Amino acid sequence: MAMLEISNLGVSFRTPRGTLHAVKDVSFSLEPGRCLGIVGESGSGKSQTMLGMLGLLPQNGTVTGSALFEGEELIGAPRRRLDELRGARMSLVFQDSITGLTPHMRIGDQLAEVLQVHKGFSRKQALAESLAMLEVLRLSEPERRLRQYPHELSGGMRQRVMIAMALLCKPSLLIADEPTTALDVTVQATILSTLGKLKDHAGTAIILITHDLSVVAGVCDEVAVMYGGRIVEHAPVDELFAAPAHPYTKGLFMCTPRIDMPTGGMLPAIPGVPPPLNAMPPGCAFSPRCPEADARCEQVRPEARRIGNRLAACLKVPA
Amino acid sequence: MSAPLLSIEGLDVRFQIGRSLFGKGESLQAVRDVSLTVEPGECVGIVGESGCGKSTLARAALDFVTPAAGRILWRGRDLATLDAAGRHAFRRAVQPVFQNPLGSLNPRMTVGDIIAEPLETLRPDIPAAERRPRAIAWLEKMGLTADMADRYPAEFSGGQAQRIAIARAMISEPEMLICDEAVSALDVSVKAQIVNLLQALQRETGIAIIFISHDLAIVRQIATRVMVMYLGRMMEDSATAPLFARQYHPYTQALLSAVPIPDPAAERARVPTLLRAEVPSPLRPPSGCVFHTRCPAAKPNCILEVPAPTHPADGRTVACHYAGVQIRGMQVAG
Repeated sequence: MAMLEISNLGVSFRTPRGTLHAVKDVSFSLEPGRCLGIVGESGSGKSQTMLGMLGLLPQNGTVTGSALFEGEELIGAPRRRLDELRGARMSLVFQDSITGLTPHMRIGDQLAEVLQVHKGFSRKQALAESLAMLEVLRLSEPERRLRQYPHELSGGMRQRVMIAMALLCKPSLLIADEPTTALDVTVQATILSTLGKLKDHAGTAIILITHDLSVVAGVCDEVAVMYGGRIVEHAPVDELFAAPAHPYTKGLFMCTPRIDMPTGGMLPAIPGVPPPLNAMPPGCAFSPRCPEADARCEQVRPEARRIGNRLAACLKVPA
Repeated sequence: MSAPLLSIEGLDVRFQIGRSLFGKGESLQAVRDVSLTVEPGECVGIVGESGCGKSTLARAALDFVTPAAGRILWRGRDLATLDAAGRHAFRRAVQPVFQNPLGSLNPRMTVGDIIAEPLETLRPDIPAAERRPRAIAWLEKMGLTADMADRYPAEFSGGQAQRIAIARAMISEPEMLICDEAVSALDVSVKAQIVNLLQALQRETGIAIIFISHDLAIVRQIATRVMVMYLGRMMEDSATAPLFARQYHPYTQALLSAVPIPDPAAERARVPTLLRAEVPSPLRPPSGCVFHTRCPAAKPNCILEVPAPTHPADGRTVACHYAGVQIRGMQVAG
C-alpha cells in the first residue's frame, strides 16, 4: 500500500461572490523514497491541494475527498491529530522563509523546539541535533547561526534553516512548496542536491511544488501537471519530458527557454492567460488557449485516461 | 565614430548605512569600478546573484542615484553636467520597467490615464487631445484592447499589468528601456509572451534595452550581450553566444553550471559547481578579487591584488588573474 493515497480531493472556498472551486478531483499516490513534482502556474491549485490535505485551509475553505497517509485518513481528522503528524511524520517547507520563522526567537531555539515538542528531547540533545542538521545543509558557521535571529540571515540561509527544521524529526513525507523560487541559482543548486540525497539515502518521500520545469527534471521521479484546479497530465519524469502528451504540457515545454541551447528568434508562447476560478469554461479549462481545441473541447470536460504509464485529461490525446 | 548611446565609466555607488545622531554608520559600496557601453538597438543583459549591484547599476543609469565616482554619459554627454533641457531630454529617452507591475501602477487612475500621463511632462509638444488616442494605440500594440483604457489596474493580471507598464514606458518614444527583473514575477507561459513583446518592440523601434535578471535562460534568449556582476564588480562581459559557449571567469562558470535544465537526462549529467554557500557581506567585501573566498581556482595573489580587466578573446572583458581557467570538477571545501 502506498504511503500517501489521495483520491478525488477537492478544495473550495466560500466567498461573497459565491463558491470558488480551487481544486477538483485530484488523485495520486506516492511511495516511500519517491519524489513527485507538481507543476503549474499561479492559480492552478497546486498549493491548495497540499494545504487542503494538511488541514491548513483558511476558515472559508472546505476540503472533500480522501487522503490516506500511512493508512490514516487525514481529511476530517481532528486538528490535534493533524498537529501531531505535521512536523513529525510529514513536514512542510514554504517559499517565504521570513514568515515561516518567528522573528524574536533565536534560530537554535526554534529548531530545538521541534525536537523537544515532537520527540521529547532535552534542550541540549535537541541543539546538538539541530547543529548537525545545519551542517548537513552546508550552512557556514553553523554554531553562530544557532545564536542568530532570522533577520540576521540571508534568504538562502533562512530557507535552509526552514528545510533543516522540516527534516529534524526525519519525516516520511516532505512537502516543499516552491522552496527555491525566491533564491539565487547557486543556492538553489545546493538545496536541490540536498533534496535528492534525502530521497535516496533517508527514503523520504517528497512532493515538490513548482512552476519551473527545470527544477522538476533533476529531482523528481514523476510529475503531475495542474491546470485550472485539475491534474491534466501525470507521468514518469522521463516519459513526460521525452514526449509531453497534453497540449498544455507541450506549451509549457515550448515556452521554457533552456540555458544549454542556443536560441533562434521568438519563444513559442501560449496565448492568453489561465481562466479565473469564477469563470471556468464548461468544457476543458485549457480549451480557450489550446491550439488543438475544437467545438467538442469547449463543451465536454475530458476525464483523465490512462495511456501506458501516464494519465492525460484531453480529448485529443490518442489512446 | 559617434558616441555610444549610454556609456558608464568606472562607476562607483556608495550607500551610507546606519547613519544616526551618534555615528556616521558604515559605507556600503554597492557598485565598484563598473564600466559598460550600450549601443543603439542593443540588448545588454546584466546578471548576478542578489546583492551583486545589478539593480543599483540600473538605478544609476536612470539617474536615480548619484555616483560616488565615475561618469555616466548619454550620447557622449556627462549626466552630471547636463542642463535642465538636457536632463529633460534624458528623462524622455530612458524609461524604466520594474518587477512588480501592479505596485508601479497607480491604483486610483484608469489604465488609459496611466499610460498617457508621461506625455504631459515628457512630451509637451504633443497636444493634449492626442494623448488618449496615443495611449489607446499603445494599449493595442501591447496586445490589449481599447475598452481596457477605462478600467483600473486591480482588474488586470500580472502579465496584463506588465504590458500596461511597458506601454507607459514606451509612449514617450524613448531610446532605451531599463528592465529590472521585468518578467521575474510572471508565470512561465506569460513570461514568454512578455519576452517576445520586448523583442518585437526592439525589432520595430530599434530601442536599446538593459535587461536585468537573475534568470540566465531568459537572458540568453533576449540579450545580445551579457555582463556578469558579483559583489558590485564586473566579472565578465561578452557577446551572448560566446559567453554561453565558454566562460572565462570562474564565477561565470559556477553561475551557469548552477542553472537547472528542463531535461532529465541532461540534469542527471549536470555537475553543478557548488560554491561555498554564502556571499560575503557587501559591507566588508573580501580583499583582492572579491570572488576569492568562494573561488575553487583562487591562488595567493587573488587575495592581494584586484584583477585588472583583460581581453582574452574578441569583444570579451574578464576581471580574473587566471582568465580562462576551467573549474569544472574542482570543489571548494566547506
